[in-house]
Amino acid sequence: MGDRRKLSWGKISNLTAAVVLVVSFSVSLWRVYTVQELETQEGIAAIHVVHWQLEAGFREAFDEIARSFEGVYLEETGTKVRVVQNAISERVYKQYVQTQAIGKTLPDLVELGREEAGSVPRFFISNTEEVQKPNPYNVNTDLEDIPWMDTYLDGMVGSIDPTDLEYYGAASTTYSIRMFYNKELLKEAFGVDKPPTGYRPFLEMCRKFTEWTEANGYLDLTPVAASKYQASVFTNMRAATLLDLILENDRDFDGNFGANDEVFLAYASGGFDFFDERIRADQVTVSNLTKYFSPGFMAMDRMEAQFRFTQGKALFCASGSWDAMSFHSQVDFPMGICDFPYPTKDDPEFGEYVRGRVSEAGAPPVFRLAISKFSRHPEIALNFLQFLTSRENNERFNKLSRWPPVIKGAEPHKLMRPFVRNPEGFWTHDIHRAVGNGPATAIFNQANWELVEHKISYEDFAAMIENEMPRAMAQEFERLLNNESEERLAQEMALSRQLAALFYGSTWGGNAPSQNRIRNKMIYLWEMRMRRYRNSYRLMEWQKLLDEQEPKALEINQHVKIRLEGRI
Amino acid sequence: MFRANNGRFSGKQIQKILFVVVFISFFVIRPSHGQDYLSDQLFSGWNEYGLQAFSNADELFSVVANSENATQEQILQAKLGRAFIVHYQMPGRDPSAAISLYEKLLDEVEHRELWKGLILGRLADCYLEISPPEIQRARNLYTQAFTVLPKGSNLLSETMLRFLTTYLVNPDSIEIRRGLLESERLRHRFEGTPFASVFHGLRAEMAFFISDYVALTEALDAQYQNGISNIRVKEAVLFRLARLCELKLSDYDRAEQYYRLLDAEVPSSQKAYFARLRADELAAGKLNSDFAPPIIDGETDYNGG
Repeated sequence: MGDRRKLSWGKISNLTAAVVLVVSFSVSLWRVYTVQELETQEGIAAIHVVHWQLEAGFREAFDEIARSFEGVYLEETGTKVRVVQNAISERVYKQYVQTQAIGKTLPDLVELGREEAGSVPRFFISNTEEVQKPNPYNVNTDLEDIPWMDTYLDGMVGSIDPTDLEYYGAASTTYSIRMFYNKELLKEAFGVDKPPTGYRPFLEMCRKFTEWTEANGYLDLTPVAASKYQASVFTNMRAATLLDLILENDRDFDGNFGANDEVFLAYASGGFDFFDERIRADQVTVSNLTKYFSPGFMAMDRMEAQFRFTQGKALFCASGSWDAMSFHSQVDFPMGICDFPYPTKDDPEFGEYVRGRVSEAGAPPVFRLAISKFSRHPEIALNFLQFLTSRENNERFNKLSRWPPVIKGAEPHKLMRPFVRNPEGFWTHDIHRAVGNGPATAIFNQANWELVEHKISYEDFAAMIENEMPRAMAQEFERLLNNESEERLAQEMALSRQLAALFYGSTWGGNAPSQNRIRNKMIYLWEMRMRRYRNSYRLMEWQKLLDEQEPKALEINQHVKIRLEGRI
Repeated sequence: MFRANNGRFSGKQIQKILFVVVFISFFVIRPSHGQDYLSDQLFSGWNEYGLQAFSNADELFSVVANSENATQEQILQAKLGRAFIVHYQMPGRDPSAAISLYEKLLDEVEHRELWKGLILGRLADCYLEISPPEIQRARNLYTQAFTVLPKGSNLLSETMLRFLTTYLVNPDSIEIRRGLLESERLRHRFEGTPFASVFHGLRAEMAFFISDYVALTEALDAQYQNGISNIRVKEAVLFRLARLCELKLSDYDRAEQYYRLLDAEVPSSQKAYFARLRADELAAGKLNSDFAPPIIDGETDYNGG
């Protein structure tokens, strides 16, 4: 009897599972059918949009703007249009776009920014002509006669494709990085609802918070929720302590020193080393704070650290504007957002080297949608982009999604106000490397992780780098010369295509390009190309250092493995 | 053969007439259709070339080069396209192998002067890119190209720029100084042309290589005055001008002007704030900045005059 009962339970559960499966499948089918019916309804043009923004509130905001566009478009043209978005996980986004592109089934609008280098001109329609005309949706505003590109905070330079120097798509938002804090904890521990704006008082608050948690037995609380990722994010609290070092070693007077040949030449000539007090100030600004990070933060995952903060287990956390809405919806305590407290000129330890804060000029554009070549309604897709990036709609979209707007004069949501970029300030750079992702970066990062984990002192950090840097610099110099040569040849290829268009364009019938446009592209390419002959300069300067028997140069020279003269 | 029988055509005669009409239209109409087709093929070939799909491009050029309906110009264009692929494709570029292709094409283009100019320029590029480069040979070829290219053409300006770069490829200050002199000789030919700004930019590079700061400042100023299209290049040029006037020429009035131009013309620059502050300091006669390394020992007031 017992067996029979067991059997009948098993049957019931199987039956229930089957029913649930059938119902779910039917609902899914019905949903797909209704969506398709709506999209394929006669007289309705469907615009499909694909992107990877899964952050809280983003899709809802996009939907609202899309509905609004549908209404306006119907009113203006009498044509019914339906904008359908499809948000895909970042993990598979790149593969999705690639396969759809190859299969010629790309949706009408595709978010760019996932290493599509080289393939954009093949699969997307350029809007170079349109960006030079005013955005029709800015009519009756002071942007009415301004070219669409000039209504952008960054002048729309982020939409230029480096392969063919044409504009593709339009971005509709931007980002910045700030600090988040738990107002409730702040009040409880210190009786205030805002953290101090100064660097030293901020460090002091973190120290006192640790004492407070120990005194009250709140052992699961930490001043700062952080992982290895957040340790990099907190580098935003550095002041411009390297500005003098940058300007002193800026051989070509363009103000840029870092990740270029000037680093190599300055280091080889003894212009600076890692015992320099200005570099110390730059590095220690962050390592002073990592004392207050959660124990074992280096092994922690980014999301884990953020989870600690949203669970109310930490006083501070740092992230980008893209996380603000998610944080806001996840926390059950009043949350504040503030700028990083950076050292100022009156700082007792670093003040002598501080020139001011680091500028946030230039708004990096994100959520750039481009029109695919397989779009069935490219004109409507373009209209939608213009609609989304008019000042009024960009403000509305970004207020709804809680992201910072990208169009001049568009007001951000009050949650985003602390994220408004501050252009006032100076600049800094990676002064430890001549090329990207080279051996010098590896050495620097290794020493830096030891420093931020407080396993070594700053002096040990500098000694560790100095010990390895001559070998790394030799390798980076070889790589720099090679890269420069390769880059110039790549530009030569692009230029040869323009030469062909200049010479033969008129014979290509209906495809004949405008001669002015070709000429402008050639000039643009030459403006970049003319700096690609600097290998001769570098080799002359290098030879001078060797002739002058500069000790660092001689040390580096021992590690040079190739004949440098052939690298022009 | 087509004589009408009693004024009427028989069925067989009509068949013959139709055959002749079809036969003629094949040769008359088809080639005109073929011309459009071949133009499209050439455009597509260059398009694929621009997208770096070199095997697609080669296939398309090959179709035109071997087509019986293609004009001589189209065949030459297709052959030049294939030579470009050998010369420029990355990876696998082979300027040495491209030399013979260009030389053969030079023979084939016969009296077409413009074509000659284009090919001579590419041939010169090859000699500059082979290892070791044959610089003098490249210069001679560029100079030959000057003689056949039309005066005032964009192609001539572009070829002259390439000629000047031959002075930048050796780490040799004497050679670079010669380049600077050579550029003076060509200066008038760039005046008022769209490439004038680039020309002065190249001169600036030469002057920078040999630390001739007076020439560098003059060349950068001319580059700016002739119009710069890339905003990042404009930002760098204005900042360099301001810093050079301040640090090397002690011309603080001009330094202030360039700082103000940078602030006004590239407001999105990270350097705009510094430029504004420094311009104000200079206007107030403050030589040693609060935001930069000192430029003189001790502070001396500068009255801006």
